[in-house]
Amino acid sequence: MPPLKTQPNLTERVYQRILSDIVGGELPELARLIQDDLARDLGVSRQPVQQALLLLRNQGFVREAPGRGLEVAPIDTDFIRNLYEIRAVAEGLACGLAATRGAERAAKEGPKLIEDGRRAEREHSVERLIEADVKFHEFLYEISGNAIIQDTTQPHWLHLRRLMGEVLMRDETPRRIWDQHEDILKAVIAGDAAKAEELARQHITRTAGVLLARMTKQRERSAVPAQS
Amino acid sequence: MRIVPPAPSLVDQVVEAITDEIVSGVLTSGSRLIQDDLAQAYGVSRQPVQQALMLLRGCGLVQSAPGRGLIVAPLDPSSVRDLYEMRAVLEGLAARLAAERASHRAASEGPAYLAAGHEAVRSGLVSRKIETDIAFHRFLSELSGNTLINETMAPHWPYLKRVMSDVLQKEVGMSQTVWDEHEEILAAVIEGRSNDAERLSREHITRAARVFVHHLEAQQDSKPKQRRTLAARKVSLES
Repeated sequence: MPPLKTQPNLTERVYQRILSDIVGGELPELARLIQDDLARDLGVSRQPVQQALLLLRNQGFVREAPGRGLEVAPIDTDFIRNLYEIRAVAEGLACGLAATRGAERAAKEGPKLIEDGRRAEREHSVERLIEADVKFHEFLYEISGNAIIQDTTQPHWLHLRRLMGEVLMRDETPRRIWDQHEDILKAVIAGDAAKAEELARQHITRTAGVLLARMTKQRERSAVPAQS
Repeated sequence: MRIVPPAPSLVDQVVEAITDEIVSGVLTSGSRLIQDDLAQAYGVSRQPVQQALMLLRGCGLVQSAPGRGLIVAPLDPSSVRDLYEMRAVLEGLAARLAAERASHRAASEGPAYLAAGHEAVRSGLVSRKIETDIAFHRFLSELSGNTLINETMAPHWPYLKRVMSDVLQKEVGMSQTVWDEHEEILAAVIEGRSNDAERLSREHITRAARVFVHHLEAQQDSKPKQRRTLAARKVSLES
């Protein structure tokens, strides 16, 4: 008998909804999360909300608020810094491998992804920019032929999307991201593994620097209070 | 106040116990893993066993076989290759950062790790060799100041232990080379030569991977191993 396809259960759906609001910015840093209010707003009982909040807490998206209840955790810049350090070498690996194993596919399918990114730039659409960015990097992971790279960096992507959304929404898009993407793709298509790896590492490191600097500036401007 | 790390949970202990049995060869490729038998052998309830098996499945040490339930997964050369490719760049990163941020600690604490490693090689015990090897790499990760490196690698350690054990049993000369390379890496870290530290780490892991993958591919061509099921045994775990 073929297995039943499981519907995402209620906890999963509540989790996805709250997560998406955090990542998308509808629930900003330090926003209070009160179980009963959430349950009422979502039209569910407290239990799935409680479970969902537990998951989100484990992943670092929510934390205990001073006093009672939970709040949306501020983006942890140390964590993000660590994440980008890993991502730089992981992407370097992926792009180097892609140049060796996936040059053909890169030539065939890569240019469209660049075009999607350029279009999102022209339209000034933050959402499309993030989508295009994620798709571009996922494509490189795919053609690298190493499944583990994607697996190990997957849990981090949500935090990255959140950061990108946070920073890009309020400031203009970091310049030259898609120029850099294009240079990386060129190196991959040319089969130049060393160059592709170097460019990818530089791209990630540069982007991290810009995003983190902007994050810090934004915080100073809005004076987010530090947790005592 | 120092943060006291939580005691390893029951699930962690079960993961460790099953991993050790696989690593030591008591459970060979293809052996069935039956929840109730394991629970009884370890003196625990089914739940931690179930969770442990899920984690082991996640890292590829265990897989489901149609009609047979869960079995010890055969080592797959291409998975090993993938894992080691990732490991090489992460270890490279750890060594680079260690050289940049913690060369003093490397100088004061590193030599003890090398000494332990040389001792392990002299002892000839595979389990000691694996332990000291892992300890050295964990030390570098700690020095790096990037806690995510260890977190990223941690779920894969059971699988890595198994690969290491499989090969170290047979490749006798390898152990000395490994520790010579560890010495070079530590020297680079102590002297703050971050480019060298990264390059040497990557080469070290890549070289090991080549031996492992070659070894596994050769094994795949020989006849399949004898299959054994887990016999009930008294293994006590701290609750």
